[in-house]
Amino acid sequence: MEPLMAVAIGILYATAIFMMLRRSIVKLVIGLMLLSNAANLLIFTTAGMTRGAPPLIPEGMSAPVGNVADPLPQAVVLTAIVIAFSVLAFAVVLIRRAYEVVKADDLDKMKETDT
Amino acid sequence: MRPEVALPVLLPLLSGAISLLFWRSRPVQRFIGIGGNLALLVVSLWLFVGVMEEGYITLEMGGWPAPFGIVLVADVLSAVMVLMTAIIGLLMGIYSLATTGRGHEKFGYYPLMHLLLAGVAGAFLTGDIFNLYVWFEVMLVASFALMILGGERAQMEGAIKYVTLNLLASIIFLTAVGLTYGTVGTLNMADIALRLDAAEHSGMVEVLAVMYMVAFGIKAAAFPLFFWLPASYHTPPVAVSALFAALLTKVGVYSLFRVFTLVFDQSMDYLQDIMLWAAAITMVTGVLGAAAQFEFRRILSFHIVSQIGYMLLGLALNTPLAIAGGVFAVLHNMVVKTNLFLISGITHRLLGTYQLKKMGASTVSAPGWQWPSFFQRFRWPVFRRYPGSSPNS
Repeated sequence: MEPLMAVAIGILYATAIFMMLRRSIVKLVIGLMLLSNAANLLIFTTAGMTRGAPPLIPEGMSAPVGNVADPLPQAVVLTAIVIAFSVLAFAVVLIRRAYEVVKADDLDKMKETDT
Repeated sequence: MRPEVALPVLLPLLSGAISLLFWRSRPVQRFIGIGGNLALLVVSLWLFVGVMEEGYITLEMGGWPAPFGIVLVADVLSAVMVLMTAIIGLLMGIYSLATTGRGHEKFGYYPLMHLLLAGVAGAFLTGDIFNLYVWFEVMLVASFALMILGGERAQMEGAIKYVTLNLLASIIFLTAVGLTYGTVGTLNMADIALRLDAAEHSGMVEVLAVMYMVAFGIKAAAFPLFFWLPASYHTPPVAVSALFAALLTKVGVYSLFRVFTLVFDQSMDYLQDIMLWAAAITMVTGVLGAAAQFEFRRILSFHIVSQIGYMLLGLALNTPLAIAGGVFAVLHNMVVKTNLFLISGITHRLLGTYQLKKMGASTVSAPGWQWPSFFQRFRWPVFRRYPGSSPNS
């Protein structure tokens, strides 16, 4: 499972960077979205994938028995998803406003503030 | 139970939430704005005094013991940074009362300012690397919204670059956090340091160190990753620019100091060389960029970049004296850069322009106002003897 995930994450990162290098601001936001998903999958995978072993503590004991899944990366990914979602919502509003003001879906037309 | 460690984070969040309740009432929002900043200053002083007496204070959130739960840690560096944040927050609040337009205040200027302060204080106080990422994002989202408040074309263009590059940095940071957890199995910074010392020095550790360096380097605006800063910092209202100049890049610098003195304190010679060169080139490019500009705020924006170089040089030299000098440069720069931005606002108010070429008659038309700037530029002589302070700007 891990090698497959590694390839998938690599493709996601590459696609995201490619999208961010395009001139269109819509594709820029798609790139940001893919990038955060890639990072979340990466956290999920590097922390170790254990199938069918929920981290439950049997009754009368104080620690789970045997090799169980690590619950912490899931909590971390959940937090990261929420953050990525809020940032994405902001980015979508931003590109809409930018499109209204600049009247172009093109980063090359947005060079007024550069030197 | 030491509440003063959590209060600098909780109070701004609370005052932000309360002023959201009074969305339509401008006077109440202004009152809560100043009141919240005053309260933040009081708890920061409380924390600072406690830390000066005891050395450091920790608070385990939710009662979970240290490597498992999230801890807030206040040592002298964190406490002094939080205190500076509170002081600058209060000054910005007062300055905003006079300079912020009705249009900005109507769309949540004060709640956003409090959210920004909460994010900055959280980043300074947390002892957990993933929690640091969360506070970075809280701070960033608030700063994104503050940056585009007003909705002018320049703000939109600046904000797109600012948002993209800062999000890229955040994702690199998040990736590094995930890989750190995969490598050492903990997220507590002190615990990561212990486990990395115990583990053998593998290539993965160096990859992680470089990822943290790049992520925080973008946020701190170090060469060659600083281009978002001069493209965006001069676009929002002056009080917002000054707040950003004082706090945001400094959080990046603080994180570099924290991570490279606590977690990656093993000797990595070529990394230190990279950081030395980056710091030196940052100083030079920042100043050269500033020299080419004629817009007051753009000059100051490039100057922030140059000053970041001085701070990083302290870290890159990596001796106790150099690091102390770097920290001093951070604190000193927070005060001076804020003041310079505020002076640019006063200049704009008096003369109606940010263009230096049109400012020639300022000493004639506004006698007396050149003196604050004059003193700022020479700096207080007492500071010039310290190793961290720079002779120029």
